[in-house]
Amino acid sequence: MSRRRTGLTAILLTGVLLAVAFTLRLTQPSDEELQGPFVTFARFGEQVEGRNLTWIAEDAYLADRVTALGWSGETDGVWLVVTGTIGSKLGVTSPDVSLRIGDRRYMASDRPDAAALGGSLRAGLPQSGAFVFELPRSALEGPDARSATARFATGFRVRLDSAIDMVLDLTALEHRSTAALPPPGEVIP
Amino acid sequence: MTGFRRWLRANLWALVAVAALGTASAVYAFGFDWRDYQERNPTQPIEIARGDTGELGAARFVIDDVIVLEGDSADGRRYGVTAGTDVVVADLRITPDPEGGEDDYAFCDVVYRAPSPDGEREWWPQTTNPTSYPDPGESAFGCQVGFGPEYRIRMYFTVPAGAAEGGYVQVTTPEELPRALRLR
Repeated sequence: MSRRRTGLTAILLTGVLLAVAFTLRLTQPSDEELQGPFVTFARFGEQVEGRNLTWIAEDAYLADRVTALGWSGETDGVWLVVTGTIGSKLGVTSPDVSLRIGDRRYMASDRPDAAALGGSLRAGLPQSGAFVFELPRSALEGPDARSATARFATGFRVRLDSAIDMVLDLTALEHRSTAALPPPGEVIP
Repeated sequence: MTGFRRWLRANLWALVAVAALGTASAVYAFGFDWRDYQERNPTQPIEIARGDTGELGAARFVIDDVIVLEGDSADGRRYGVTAGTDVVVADLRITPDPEGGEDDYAFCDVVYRAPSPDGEREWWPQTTNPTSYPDPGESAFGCQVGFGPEYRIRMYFTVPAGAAEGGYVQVTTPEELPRALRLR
């Protein structure tokens, strides 16, 4: 009788352990989730901080043409302009800024060169100005355009580091024919 | 003897093996990363007082002077330092490897670091003098320790007002990491 009970207990225990193992395997995070960024979400007018970046979004709008410091940006698509102040907390950093629309990712344009943000930041000396994204007009159509996400980080692939995300509804933004980019400059605290 | 104790006794060596192998796995998994991190970063600082000589490999470093031009001061205004910022001016004397030849070019990194509530902050030198503070008679461009005679170099670091306090000039070379000179 006792041997039979021990056998039943062993079978039961094995079943429980297998069920636990199976559940763990099913709920196990993917590599991407395990090594993904720690995301902080930004809103207009609020300062948010990551490990090494700070960001205050001021405005966002679309433009058919942008101008800055004697440069004129013509495009067959459309410009997304995001203005604000970005800073580095601890060391020299060149922010990596991109916009994800659905499964497509657009990097902030370097066409304006020094007329837009994106250059290196010095610790404690934030810079105000604008990031610009050159987008195809088709990017403004479809449901994904309602929840485009601008990401501010210290690298293209953020691995176990912080990132600042900002959700934008591209279909609701003001659309200008021409926009003058605010000149970038250090904001003295 | 209870059932559990009997089971424990019967499986003692297996349990010891699991504990030992588990520990070994953890050490193996993290040991390399930890050692690499330690060896690739300036984790072994060497404090050098002003005027004293610090050595990294065959190269020698002396900090002759460090001054802070405060933007919100009479001197700062006189030299055109932007209000709300300070400019750290550091004068170094560097003696490269005396046995090095022209093919032995080796660079060194010089940064200014200072504590802050968020952690230690770091600034890179600027390539040009951001102020009207008089430049020295002769100053090298860039830090090089591979060969050549002793030379002097002046470096400028723009920092937020008051941020330079408690800071130091850090010198590293890729070959000598994780050793780093902290010149104050």
